[in-house]
Amino acid sequence: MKRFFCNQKNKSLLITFVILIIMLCLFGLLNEHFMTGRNIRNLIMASIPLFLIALAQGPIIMSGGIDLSLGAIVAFANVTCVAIMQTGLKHNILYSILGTLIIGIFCGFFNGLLIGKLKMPPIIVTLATTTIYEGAALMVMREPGGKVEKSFAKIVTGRIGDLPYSFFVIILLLIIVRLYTNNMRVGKAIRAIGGNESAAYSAGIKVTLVKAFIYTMGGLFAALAGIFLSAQMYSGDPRIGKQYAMNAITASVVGGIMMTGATGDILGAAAGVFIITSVNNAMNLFGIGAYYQFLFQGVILIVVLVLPTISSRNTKRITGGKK
Amino acid sequence: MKKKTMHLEAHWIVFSGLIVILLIARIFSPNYLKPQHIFAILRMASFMGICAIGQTFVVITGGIDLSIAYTITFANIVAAEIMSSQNSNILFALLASLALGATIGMANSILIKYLKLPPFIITLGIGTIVQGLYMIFSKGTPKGNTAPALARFFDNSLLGYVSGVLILWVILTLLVISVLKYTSYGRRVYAVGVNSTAASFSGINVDNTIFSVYIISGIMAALTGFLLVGFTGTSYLDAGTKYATSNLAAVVIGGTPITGGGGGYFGTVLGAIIMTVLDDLLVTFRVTQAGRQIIQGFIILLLVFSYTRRKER
Repeated sequence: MKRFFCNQKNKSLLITFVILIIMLCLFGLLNEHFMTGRNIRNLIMASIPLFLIALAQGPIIMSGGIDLSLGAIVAFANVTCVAIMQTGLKHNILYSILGTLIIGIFCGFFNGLLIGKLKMPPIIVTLATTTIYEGAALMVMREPGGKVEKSFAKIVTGRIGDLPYSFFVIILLLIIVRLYTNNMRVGKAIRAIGGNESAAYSAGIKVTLVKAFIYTMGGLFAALAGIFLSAQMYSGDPRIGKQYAMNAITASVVGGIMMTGATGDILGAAAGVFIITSVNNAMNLFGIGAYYQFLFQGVILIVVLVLPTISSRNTKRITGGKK
Repeated sequence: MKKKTMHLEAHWIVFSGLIVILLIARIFSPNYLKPQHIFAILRMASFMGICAIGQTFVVITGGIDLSIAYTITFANIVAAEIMSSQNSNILFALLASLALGATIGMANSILIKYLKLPPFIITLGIGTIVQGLYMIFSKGTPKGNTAPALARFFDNSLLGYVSGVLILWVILTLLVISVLKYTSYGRRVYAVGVNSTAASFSGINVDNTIFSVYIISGIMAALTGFLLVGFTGTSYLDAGTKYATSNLAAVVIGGTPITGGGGGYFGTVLGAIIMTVLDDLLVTFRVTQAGRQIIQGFIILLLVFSYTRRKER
């Protein structure tokens, strides 16, 4: 056990979890409503969309890339899901879920194609695709609205006791993603690309395929988030994406996935998600205005970025120089 | 020089694209090429052009500034609040906006210098903080109105067609191009972008150069926010959103490589103009906001792709 934590990567993971636990205890002590079953339930439900997007963004950042369009894909998926479901066809729920997943995969794949195969820089590509997917979302639904089938909403947001079903799904997805990013060949390939892309090429790694894979998965998870949101909000909102893009990056960074790529554990991103969501939740409970929450997001991000610099001053740093 | 040829080629591409678009426009709408319309378009493009000045400097050094849109909005809100329809407040509003922009830029610079992390994450973080700040400052409802004198800066009073802001843009353009091309500072900016290690070995203070460009970016973004108050009459929470992606797009379309080290402001000017013309044309064709966004996105991808391809040849 001790040897597990001698590793720098696992050390920062531990720190993240410790921070999470401290925060949860703190909030619990400061506000009696925090630790109630109901609030915990709300907390979990609120964190699910962000969780999914962090699962999407995490591997991408590990590969040294970034996907700024995930928020827009969520919005696109959200409105598509609602739009299809509204048609009232037989099996509309099935069609809407399938259709949405296909859209997500397609969007993610498009990103992966441009970045992996055509080798265009991820920042500008995903900025451009953000406008495209946002526009597409607006085309499907100009204003927030629409409605979903009650049965669909009930299943997605349903629960056993205090824990939502979706919580178990999340845990399952987390295990799967962690498996392939930490243990399988794909994961090692992702990190190799994040560490030094040309070396990865030379080592025979099929960089294009790996990249196509992670961006496509990104789109898939974003679509899942969109589907979940349709059930949770009971409607569609083409503008919902804006908050998630930034949050996913924050969650990953908070979770210790270094922006220089290659290091990090998706578990850390998960912890990061909970940290962010519980801070937001606590702020709501304490009556702090929504505006201050914006501020907090940014501050958390900067603070977390500052910390590793301080703590790793003794460690040799590999200057990434990648954007 | 390979880099020079590349961005000159980009200029030709954009320029011919612009001519083609204008010709198409002329066919569908005879009044399109009338001076009034052309100058109106140029006036619209001025805003994009001015906020893209900073982005141009930043991208040449190999960085990126994603906080520009938020800075524009914050300056917009603050300027309107200070002005409150009084001519006497104009100067203070302007100075306050520019100071705000410089501060935000400096925050970016300091973090980039000391954290040594990719500029995109830092500027994104600062941008979010700025967003929080202006939301708190305005409590969700921005107040204030433009001073009448500033508003006159924007109507097409000079020479019958030309607007004050366009003249400002022209002056700034000449200034910026001269600085980038003919001053040693300009050369340093390019040097840092081409190869920062080599630059530092040749005695250039890379850190300080990078430090300065984000401040320029912040100031220019704030200026744009200030000018927008005069143009629209008041302030808006989404004053900056339409410039969020488009300021970077103008730079990149203009031929400045996203990895830095080449290009220049003239390209950005062309980029800003062509994007404004395209958008305007699509509005004439009654394409929805959503449609225009999608087309804009594809055009950016297309142009970036063709530039990346050319570079590899």
